[in-house]
Amino acid sequence: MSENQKSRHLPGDPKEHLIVSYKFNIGIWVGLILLTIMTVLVSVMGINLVAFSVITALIIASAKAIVVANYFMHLKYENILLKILFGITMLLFIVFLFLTATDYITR
Amino acid sequence: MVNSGHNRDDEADKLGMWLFLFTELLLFGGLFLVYTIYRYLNAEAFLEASYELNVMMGTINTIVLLTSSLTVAMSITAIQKGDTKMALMLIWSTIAFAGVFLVIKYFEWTAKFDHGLFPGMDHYNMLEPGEKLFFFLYFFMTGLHGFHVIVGAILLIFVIRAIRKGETNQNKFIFLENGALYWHLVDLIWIFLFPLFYLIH
Repeated sequence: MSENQKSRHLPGDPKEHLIVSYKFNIGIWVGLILLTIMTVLVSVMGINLVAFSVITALIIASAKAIVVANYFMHLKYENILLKILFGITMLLFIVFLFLTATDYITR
Repeated sequence: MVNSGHNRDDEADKLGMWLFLFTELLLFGGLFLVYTIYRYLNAEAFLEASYELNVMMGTINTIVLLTSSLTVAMSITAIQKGDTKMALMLIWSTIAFAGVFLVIKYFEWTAKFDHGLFPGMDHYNMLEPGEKLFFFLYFFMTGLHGFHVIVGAILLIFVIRAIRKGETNQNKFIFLENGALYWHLVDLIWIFLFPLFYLIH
């Protein structure tokens, strides 16, 4: 990965700004397309495996989301403050979804 | 460098954009929660209704949006390399993909309208409550997402204008980065909408 990314100083920018290569971006896109094809195939073929298809669909969607956030949105290359904020937000978000869902489902 | 009194802080600009994206997460997260709970309570009806959706069109739209995310991510690379022409072309292609997405969505929605499945139409009124919920949520969530696609495309047109004027350039491209972040969010939402509505059978 490190071969694909060159960094350099930009005027007016105290921090090194990373340049992600075209090639690397296209590689990420190929991965996302493959995951999409995989999730469609699981759905179309796995008709009898209801629970399996729900979980796989959500796992694959989450994997795609993580790839988009890390590489397309450059979260992986951001400073630690943004990463911590992102982590806290996601944690609170999951707690909020989980608590509300369990409340409804156990009534 | 002349200090105009406005100190530039790209990190802060980006942090502000991310905070806004977190609020968008709550907006759609709430809707996903509504969908999940009603799906749990009306499993049979949701399953029945989900077969009405066109998986082929949904898949094509997923690929279109992923590709638009690629082009906008590549436009940041282009502007960092100083290739303004390439950056503009890539942003225009992102907007073009947004157009393709909306056209496909238009055909999908029209097909549902023809079947009278929009809330308030004859066929919709005869459905059982669970199926009504499914179609209501389908139109509401894909509609809200479609609105975000339009807003994202307009935002990118402003980015193009800033690049043309030279306000956004090789040394100062935070506006393009933030525009791209918003665009990726639109893609992220679709990544979850697609399997939830089209694929879970």
